[in-house]
Amino acid sequence: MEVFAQTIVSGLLLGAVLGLIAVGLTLIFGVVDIVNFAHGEFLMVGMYIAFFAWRLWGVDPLFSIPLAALGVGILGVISYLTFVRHAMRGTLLSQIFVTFGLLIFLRGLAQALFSSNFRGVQGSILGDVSLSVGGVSVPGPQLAAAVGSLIATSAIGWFVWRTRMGKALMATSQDREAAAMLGINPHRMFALAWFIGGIATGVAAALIVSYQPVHPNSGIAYGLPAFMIVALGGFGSIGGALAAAFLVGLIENIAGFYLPTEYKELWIFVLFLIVVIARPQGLLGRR
Amino acid sequence: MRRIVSIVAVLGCLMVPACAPGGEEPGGTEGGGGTVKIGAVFPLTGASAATGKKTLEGVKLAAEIVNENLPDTDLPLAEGEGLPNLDGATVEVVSADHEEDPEKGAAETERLITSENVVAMTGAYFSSVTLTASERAERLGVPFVNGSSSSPGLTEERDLDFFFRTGPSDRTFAETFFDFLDDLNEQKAGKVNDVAILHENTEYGTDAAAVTEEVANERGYEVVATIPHGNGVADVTPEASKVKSIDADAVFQASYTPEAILFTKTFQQLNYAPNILAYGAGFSDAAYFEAVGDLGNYTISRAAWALDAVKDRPAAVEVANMFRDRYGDEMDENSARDFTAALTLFQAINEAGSTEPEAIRDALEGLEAGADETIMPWDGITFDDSGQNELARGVILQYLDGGYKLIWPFDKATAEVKVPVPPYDRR
Repeated sequence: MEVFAQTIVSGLLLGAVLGLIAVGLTLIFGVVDIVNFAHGEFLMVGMYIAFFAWRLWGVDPLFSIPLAALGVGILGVISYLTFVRHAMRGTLLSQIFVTFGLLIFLRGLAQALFSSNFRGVQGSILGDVSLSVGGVSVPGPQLAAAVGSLIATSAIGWFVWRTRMGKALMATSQDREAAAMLGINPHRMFALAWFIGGIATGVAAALIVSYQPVHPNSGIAYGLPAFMIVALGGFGSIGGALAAAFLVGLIENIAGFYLPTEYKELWIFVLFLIVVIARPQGLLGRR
Repeated sequence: MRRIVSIVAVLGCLMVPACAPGGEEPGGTEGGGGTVKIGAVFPLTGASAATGKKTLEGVKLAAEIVNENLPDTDLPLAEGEGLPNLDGATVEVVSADHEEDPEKGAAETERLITSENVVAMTGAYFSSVTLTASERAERLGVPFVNGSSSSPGLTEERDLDFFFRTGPSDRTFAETFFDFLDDLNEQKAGKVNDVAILHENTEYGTDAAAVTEEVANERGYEVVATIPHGNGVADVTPEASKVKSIDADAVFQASYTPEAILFTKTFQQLNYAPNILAYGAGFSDAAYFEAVGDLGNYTISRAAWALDAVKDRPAAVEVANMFRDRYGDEMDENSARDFTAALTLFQAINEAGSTEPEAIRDALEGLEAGADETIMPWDGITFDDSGQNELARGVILQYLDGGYKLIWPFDKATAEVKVPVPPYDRR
């Protein structure tokens, strides 16, 4: 029972963080209608920002969240203004290539600038904190990451659904032309979506950097699940991404513990296949 | 629909390292004119690029020792410039990046042999890549000398004529581990009876697990669980929770650097400090200790080399110093192993007095290097019929006070073994 509770807790902690990362991705997709393959690399950039803030100025990753969020947000806007905007006039294939090229560029740049060494933040405020509730250990950094992720996800939800600008964003997502006719500048909205998507990723990056090693490839481990979560939850659906992320976290931990660990990802893909066949628009997606 | 297909195609690509960004490898220069070229294929980009760089530096240092006149260094080919039996021809290392991908490793091996005209190959650190790369070299009839891949299957399950391994296989290492555990139980009142195995799921980890289980059964230790894990994952909590719930006396672990880091941090978070007996790899990597800091203390690892174990050999100390001067980092086990593979290859080429692949292979087969002709704590280098160096040995190290110390054999130890290991909050 204790062990089962542990797998549930670990699954929820992982799911919350995956949720925030996937929300960033799904927002960009929903509004701009383009898949950002460099999303994992955005996360990697955020992790480097938080890492160097700690390394150079001794700033704890918890306090460098705004810095990482802003950094990745700006990276998103720059990516949009310099490459993506032009690629959107091209074919679907060129859209894919431009973000895939960005992935390769960012990864190569990180290796050139920071070398391929693994780096890690040591002695963060929560680093040694670990709660134990009835035999279930809840590591401080992961708990902070999960809580922080949920707060950030809620904030994005609030912005998108409750503010004027967020409503404009959603309007653009639903019908670009109609929104434009009502005076909403789509290009501004696209840039805004990249900015918010970047902020979500940057927040997640600063939150996980206290327990995840940083290296040029560290985006892969989160990037790939994020794509699957977005597809699982329904492209463009924030609630769907969050629900799917929790599902993925729970399945990975429960199946990973009770079934042979080498197949722990298999069950996630099995679920994915079932959803694709039975409900192609995703769990909470619109057709 | 087209969108979904394209997205799936790109995602598939993301999962296969072959499509991942490739590094520009330093190409070779003009051939001939008194230069003997060997090929070196290592992971120079990707998650293990840092290790790949160090292994390649080991190979390059061996070439430097051959090419420069170092009369005071007591190693083969150090005195005089170049290879004496080939009129002082200098050696050149042509490197290539295999990106941890077995197919890419084979393709790069073929390119080096057919386009760059290398006379022999070395590499590839990853056992899974060494497997395919050496098979390609075999087909092209070119010798492949490996230093740092320890999967037993590389020599035991194949009948290759052109493959040689200077370093110990994980069978040797498994025996070393259980010799150590026997001694620990007898002489130090250790209480290790049941063991668990935690391993990465490619050639290296799978083979290490199989051979550990085999040797454990022979020696009367009970293997209570074997837990595989993937590479490039975000989370290893289920695997670590399993290890915790089993709570074996000792945990054999074969993982590369990123997962070694992840497991250590996850064990800390689960408030569980297993007695890790590591099969090198990630745990031999300085980057691991940089990333985990004090949490890495008390890790026990097998090793084919440690400066502590060869302190009585001036040449070994000198090579380690040269390595630090040239490349800024300390020489580690992996660079020492690949240094030795390359130097052995150069020795064979010199003894063959020829760059013909068959002649080099014959020279490797007949090679007899004494212990003092290497920088390793071994009994020397002599290949058996399978191409395995039968004189390679392992030692046991424990990471104490910021460095690996020799803890076994007990009579040579420079530090006292500490097991059971203390919990993470007291490191």
